[in-house]
Amino acid sequence: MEEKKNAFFESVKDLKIKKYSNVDVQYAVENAIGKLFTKYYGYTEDHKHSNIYLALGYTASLIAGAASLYSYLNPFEKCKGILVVSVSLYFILCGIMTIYNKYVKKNEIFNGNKKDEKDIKSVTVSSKNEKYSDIVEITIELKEGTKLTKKSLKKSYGSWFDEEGNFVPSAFLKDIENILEKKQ
Amino acid sequence: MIIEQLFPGKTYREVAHQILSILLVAASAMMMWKGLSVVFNSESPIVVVLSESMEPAFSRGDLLFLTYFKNEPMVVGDIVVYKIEGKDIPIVHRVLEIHKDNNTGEELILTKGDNNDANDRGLYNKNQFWIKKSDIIGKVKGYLPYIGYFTIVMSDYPKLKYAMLAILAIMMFNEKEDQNK
Repeated sequence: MEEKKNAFFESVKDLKIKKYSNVDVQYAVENAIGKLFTKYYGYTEDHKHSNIYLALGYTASLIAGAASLYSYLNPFEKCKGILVVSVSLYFILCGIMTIYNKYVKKNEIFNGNKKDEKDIKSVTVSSKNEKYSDIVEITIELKEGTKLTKKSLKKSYGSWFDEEGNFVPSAFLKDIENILEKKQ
Repeated sequence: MIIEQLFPGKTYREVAHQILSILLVAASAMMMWKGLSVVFNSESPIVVVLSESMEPAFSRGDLLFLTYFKNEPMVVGDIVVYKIEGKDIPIVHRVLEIHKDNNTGEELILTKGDNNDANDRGLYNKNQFWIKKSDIIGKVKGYLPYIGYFTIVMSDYPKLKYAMLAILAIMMFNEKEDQNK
């Protein structure tokens, strides 16, 4: 356990935020959660949301690029058909990406699973932060076989970062451990 | 590698996301422009007036909105934007005469700038006396005064263009650092 703890601490040693920038904090917490669950708890990260976003996004960009190139090389009359198709496809793909992020990914910041003895355990961590508020709500959903548990932690991010904005992994680890151990 | 230098401390996945953000901005802008093009059926639905040849109607720097719908007939008095074959500059002038070639059925059009003394034959290619419908980019349907002056300044002073692009690039990089969600 000790070496896993050190592995986690090591992986976040450069994590620093610009204080008062909520976007920075969100990103740092997301980063920390990822490192914590992979290095300390031994999960393998499931990049499904990222993969779908990247796949859709790069496809859309490719379509846009190809259409632009084609319309640059050919007179307008010839391009019209292709342009209609590409522009529609592009905005449809963008629409799908937006819908996916809003309704499927929602607030999830980490998805992972691991094989523990015979079962496959999976974890989904979501994070929510109101605008201009320092309170972060971290929700952890654990799935062991058919058993589903949901634990959440609501705390000010000030408790995990020091005066200069450096991340304090020991404080973060303690809070997460406490919430996971707590019997509901 | 270059990627490690440009994007310090980030995994390949994070870099992929950052590059995608930039690509999506560029792609969205381009697709919106092409979309406008297709909706208005004009290869360049928004143009900037470059000369004073249409005063007092249009001044240098005005922004013009063009459409070129197939079912709208060309009428004398329409203000059109056209390009002379072989030359890249769009010209905004009024239609003076329209004739129909009995053999080919093509429409032959003569144009003239309101503020010019002579018709456009001086601008057309050697031995060209008319322009055809295929030379026309669109008919002016609306305009916004002064807005286009920005692009005129950019093309007259190319160094300004590069300076602006550099500033935009720096701003975007800084924003992407913050906006990683």
